[in-house]
Amino acid sequence: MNAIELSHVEKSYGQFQLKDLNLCLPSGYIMGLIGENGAGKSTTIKMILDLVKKDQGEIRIFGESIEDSIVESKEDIGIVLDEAQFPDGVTVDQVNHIMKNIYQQWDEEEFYRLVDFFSLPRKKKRFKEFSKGMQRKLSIAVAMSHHAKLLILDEPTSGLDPVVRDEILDLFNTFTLEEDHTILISSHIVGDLEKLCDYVAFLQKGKLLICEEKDQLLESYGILKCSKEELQELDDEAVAGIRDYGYGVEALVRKSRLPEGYQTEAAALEDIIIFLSKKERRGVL
Amino acid sequence: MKGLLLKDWYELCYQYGWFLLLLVAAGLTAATGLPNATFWGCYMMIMVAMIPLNSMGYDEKSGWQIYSRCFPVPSKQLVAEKYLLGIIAQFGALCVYLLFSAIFLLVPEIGNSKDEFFMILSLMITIGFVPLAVMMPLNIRFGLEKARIILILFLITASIGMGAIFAGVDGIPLIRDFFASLNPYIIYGILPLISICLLAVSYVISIRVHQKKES
Repeated sequence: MNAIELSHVEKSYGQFQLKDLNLCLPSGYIMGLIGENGAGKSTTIKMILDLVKKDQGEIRIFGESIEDSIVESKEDIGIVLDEAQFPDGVTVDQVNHIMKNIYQQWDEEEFYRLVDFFSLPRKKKRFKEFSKGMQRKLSIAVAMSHHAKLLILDEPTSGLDPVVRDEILDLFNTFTLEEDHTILISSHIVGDLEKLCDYVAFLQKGKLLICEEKDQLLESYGILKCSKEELQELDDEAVAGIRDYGYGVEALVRKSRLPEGYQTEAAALEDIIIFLSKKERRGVL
Repeated sequence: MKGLLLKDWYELCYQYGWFLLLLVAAGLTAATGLPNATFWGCYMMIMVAMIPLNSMGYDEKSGWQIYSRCFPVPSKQLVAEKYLLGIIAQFGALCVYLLFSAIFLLVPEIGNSKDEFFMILSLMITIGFVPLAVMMPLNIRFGLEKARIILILFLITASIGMGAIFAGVDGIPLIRDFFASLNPYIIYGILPLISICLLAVSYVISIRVHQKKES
């Protein structure tokens, strides 16, 4: 079963448009949503959660259309938004009491395990006294404490130091050890997503440029270092992006379209995203 | 619903600790029968009506407003919780007034007369519920700041309109006689009823506005 399914979803905000969004995240996998600021990542997440109404298309969660069952589905969705979530005056203990009365499957023991894991103070500090990192950790602890089957995380690791980020990524990895546990995560930190994700969806200016398995994606692209003249000889379809160094060029190439004999280096996810974002195509050079 | 109310309770205790003192002082003064008792009663209710409205403002600022829409709670309940918070706060304030009125019944020469008691009670309910009824849908639709501006503009327009209408009442015997013939007890009964009906209508409108609102 697919945890999330978007078919031909569209949304317009004045000049900004999300166009013909088709995305499918099977249960049990992790999908990274990548894109520049304003690419439409948060809007996509908000549409999935029905916080923003789509103009067209269909969104399904756990196989059910969101119009029919989003309220019930939210019991099974853990959410971290890209902004602060809790009121200034509440403490960790109070958050526990509040959530215990909101989620039917609230697991107090798991919540305090995560609170201790993140070294969050239970009573002494109020939310507004927390650092940005602590606020994020509390949001993550809440999202993971009501036996959710799907985590939707909007920039969950922003503002966190690398060590904590790594610990959190491990936590997410452990979460998906359960067969039916799924994560949709958006982040600017492509390195984190490369470590974590099974699928990658890349949005640019409201268009979904890539949505495929990470390993397949990494396998299909390579980095070719050559002269400008050598590059001119290649088929247009083979070259996905170019970086000009003056003394030579570095190109992101589709390996399947490359003639035999060309040696390429492995492309990291970050390389693929940067090359595609810059939109420097062969003809522009 | 209980979780949402709990959150508002924690937030109120944090933001409004001082308010309890003011509430007791205003309730006490409203029940004394002093010349400004009516003012204090109404003042107390307006302050109390601000509790759910300010709570929505805090929610907006803290991000809770958007986050709460991610809970397995329908729009109807999110809206109902704020109305319930308003009603509980109004009820609490009325209880303070009733408590002091009951105490002053035992103290000679202090306290309101029967007429004054009912008039103040009626005005308190009306003054408490009407701003809540008007502001809640506006708050949900436009946010606290814009809603306040809209309310101020509305009050100025309404005041000018009412002033213009009542300025001419003395010259129209039919209307003048109508107001003169009204039994004050009927008015004291009708005003709260109208305000409660207004609140019910406002609740329905608020749910629709909330369902259509995008975060």
